Amino acid sequence: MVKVDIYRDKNGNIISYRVAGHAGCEDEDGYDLVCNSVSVLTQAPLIGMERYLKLKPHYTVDEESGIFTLKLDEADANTQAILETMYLALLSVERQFPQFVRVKAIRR
Amino acid sequence: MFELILQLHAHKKGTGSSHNGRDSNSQRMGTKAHESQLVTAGSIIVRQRGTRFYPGNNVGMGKDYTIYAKVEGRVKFERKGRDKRQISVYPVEEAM
Repeated sequence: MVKVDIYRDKNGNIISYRVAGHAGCEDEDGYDLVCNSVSVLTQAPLIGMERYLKLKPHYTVDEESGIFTLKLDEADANTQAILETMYLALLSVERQFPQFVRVKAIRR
Repeated sequence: MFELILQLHAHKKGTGSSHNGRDSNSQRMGTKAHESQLVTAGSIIVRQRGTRFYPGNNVGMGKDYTIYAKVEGRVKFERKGRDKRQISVYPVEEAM
């Protein structure tokens, strides 16, 4: 089960998120459809922020335990567009694979 | 710059289950007695799958293609036709 915790500030902006766990739905070839989806969806925002928006968000990656976190210093329209898209896409994956993905939004 | 890690949430890498790892016991095929070796009646000369060797003189072949001596004597590996081989056993006085 991959757990995605999305943290919103008092204004409702996504300011950080944490992705943890392994999907565990390995198919015959060993490629984990859900894992790949979640990996790409949750890591793509970092690439967009670094390379397109030229920002330096704080992030951590622990390949052994499968934990990825990202934290913004401040929210703006660009970062929110990226992160809200990620959030909506993750919800779509969760609807199709509820047994392997759990997405939770937490208001701080 | 960060690069995508596609398998970040897959099973721990390198511990995927493999579908191999099975094998049957070895059947110890092959020749048990060699050219000119003295063998007793009933002793097995070769275990084989199919007729790699054909039965020649004074030997028998079991239903599993095992070739065994019918008499005591020396083992002879002989040609059989153009490209086949056969095994015979010749009693010691005949083999001189």
